[in-house]
Amino acid sequence: MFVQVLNGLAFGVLLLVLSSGLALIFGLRGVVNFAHGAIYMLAAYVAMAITDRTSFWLALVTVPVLLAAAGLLVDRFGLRHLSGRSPLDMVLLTFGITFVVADVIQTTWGTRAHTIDPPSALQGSTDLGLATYPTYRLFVIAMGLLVCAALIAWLKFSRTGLFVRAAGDDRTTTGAMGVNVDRVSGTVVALGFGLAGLAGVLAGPYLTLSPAMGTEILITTFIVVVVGGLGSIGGPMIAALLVGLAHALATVQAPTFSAYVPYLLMLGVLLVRPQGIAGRRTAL
Amino acid sequence: MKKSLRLGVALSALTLATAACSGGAASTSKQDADGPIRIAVVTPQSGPYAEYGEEQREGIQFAADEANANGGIDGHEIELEFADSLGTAEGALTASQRLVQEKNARFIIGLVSSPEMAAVTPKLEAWDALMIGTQGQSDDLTGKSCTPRYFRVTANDTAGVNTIAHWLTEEKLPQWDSIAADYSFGQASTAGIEKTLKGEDSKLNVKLFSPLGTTDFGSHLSQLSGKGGLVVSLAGSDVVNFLKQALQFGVLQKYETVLVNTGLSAATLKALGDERLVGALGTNSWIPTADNPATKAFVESYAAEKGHPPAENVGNGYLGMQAIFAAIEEAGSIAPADVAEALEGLTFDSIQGEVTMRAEDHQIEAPTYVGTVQKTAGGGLELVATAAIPAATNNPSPNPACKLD
Repeated sequence: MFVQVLNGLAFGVLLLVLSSGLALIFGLRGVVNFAHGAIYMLAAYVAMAITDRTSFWLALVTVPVLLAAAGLLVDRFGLRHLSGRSPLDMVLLTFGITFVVADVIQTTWGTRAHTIDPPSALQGSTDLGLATYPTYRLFVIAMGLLVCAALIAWLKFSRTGLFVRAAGDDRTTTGAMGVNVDRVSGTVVALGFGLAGLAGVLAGPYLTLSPAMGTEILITTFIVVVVGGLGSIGGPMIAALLVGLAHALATVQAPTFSAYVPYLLMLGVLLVRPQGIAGRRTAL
Repeated sequence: MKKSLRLGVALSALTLATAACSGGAASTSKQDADGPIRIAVVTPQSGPYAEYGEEQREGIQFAADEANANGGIDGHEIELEFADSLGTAEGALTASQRLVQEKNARFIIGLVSSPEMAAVTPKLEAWDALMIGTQGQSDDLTGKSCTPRYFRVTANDTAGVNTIAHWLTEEKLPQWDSIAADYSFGQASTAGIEKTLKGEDSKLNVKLFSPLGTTDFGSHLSQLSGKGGLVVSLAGSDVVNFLKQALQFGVLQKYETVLVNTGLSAATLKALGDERLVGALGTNSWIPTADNPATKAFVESYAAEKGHPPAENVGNGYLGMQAIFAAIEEAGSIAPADVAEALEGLTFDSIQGEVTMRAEDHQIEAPTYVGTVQKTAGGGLELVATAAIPAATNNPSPNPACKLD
């Protein structure tokens, strides 16, 4: 049981990092970033290339930064120009990025599965008293929770965080108050891409790299954001851990249904609370 | 609300547009009797089985290039037409139909999973096409849902189980655990293992299933006992995922023996590259290390050309092409109906030596192989064949439910 909770936490934390990026971008740009899974996957592959040549730690620091820079470019030369137009234009752009990234990965690294070894300090298992658990997974849990705590603190206490929250609530008014909303949005898209990058690097030694890994996790991440509530940051965080735990426990208690659990959870939430756990909007 | 409605409509339109692009109009032109042999290579190019798809394409391409370099087959040049099955039944059906009807490629090959094949086989006669199965193992394809135009050159599930039975009986462990893919392959494997163990005074202790494409096996791993032996019936990236995480959890190391049903392919071992897998037992329909002169000759000529030995499914794809070529030569025609008739009961030379396509159910009669993981001279890992299980032992007798007329 203890191990199941840890399993749920490990996967949940990964979803948490991914979904907070997705939720942030949605909140500010009003776009469902279909490229989120592809960015996550790209990060994992680049991390593999860096780890093979130098070290995992270097990848952990550089890859999220690189992808944040990419996010800045996507926002500056893509999303910003589309912000007044139909949401479909933005969906097409992010959907297009997905295809391009997936093909670049398949051309560069092929279709076969790859793995990254955890750094030597995190290899093996740790005895936690109740059970022994892979050290690397404990690291993933710790990192994920830390990053989310930092994100919440930034949103709550920093000046930019205040702008982000304000622009998420009402873009026009925030702009009228003198906030450069485009700049805030750029920061948020960069942050979102950076978080997807971090999730990708963390996932490398934990899961397996394959050209399907992006789409596989994207669907679950969407579910997390819907369950958590569109337009909220805290909601998806709770939902991510909930989905992770429910999935881990269902795999043991009701294996036949485990694949349906995230969907059932979404169905339940949508029926009882259509706006999600902490959402303020019911639709796009 | 209005915005979301618009988005929904637009997304549906996008989906429809994509579907329309891959649909296409039917063509009625007949295969030209003197023209090239057009082969529809339908493989998954993404998803958990993408790697297998790539291997299939390599083997099929190698066979086509080799045949063309030698002046074609029976005077005909080989032309390959490629399409992506997307790894799904619907995708396989759409892609196959497109190549048959638009490109007039009536010999279909390369599909990886049984559900993909099962979607296409019922249509073959209506399309006047023929299909060679080079990987999917479901018994039904050559059993109760057999069709006159479908032929399989690789082992079926029962043959696969009869092959693992070699290790289950040899190892004599009091108990085994099993983890299997939650679809026909894994289910048939688990049922077969359970039956075999009953006759061996042993038992199947823990029995787990995981959906195709499982990313996190943590919850499965915590349920494994670590006692006796472990049979893994997973495939594609699932088996890499599982073995990697099982090593991280330290679960794999607890077992006396780990046995993998077809999953210990060259690609899996390369992705993992973990020395703790040395000694693991594996089985497969064909393995490049098989002690067989025809296999050796094929592996040598492939390695000379490509610089590395062929993976398992490169060989399977190649074997499928050998079956088509042999039947065309036998028939003296490239009309799918004539080729199908010639292939029925045909004995031909292959990378496994002399093999026979059984007339009753179109299931090949060929050996299967068992082996152990060993370290290669180059520091990598490979599954080295230790024995061949002859067709007489591995192949179940034809299912009477299969009626081909």
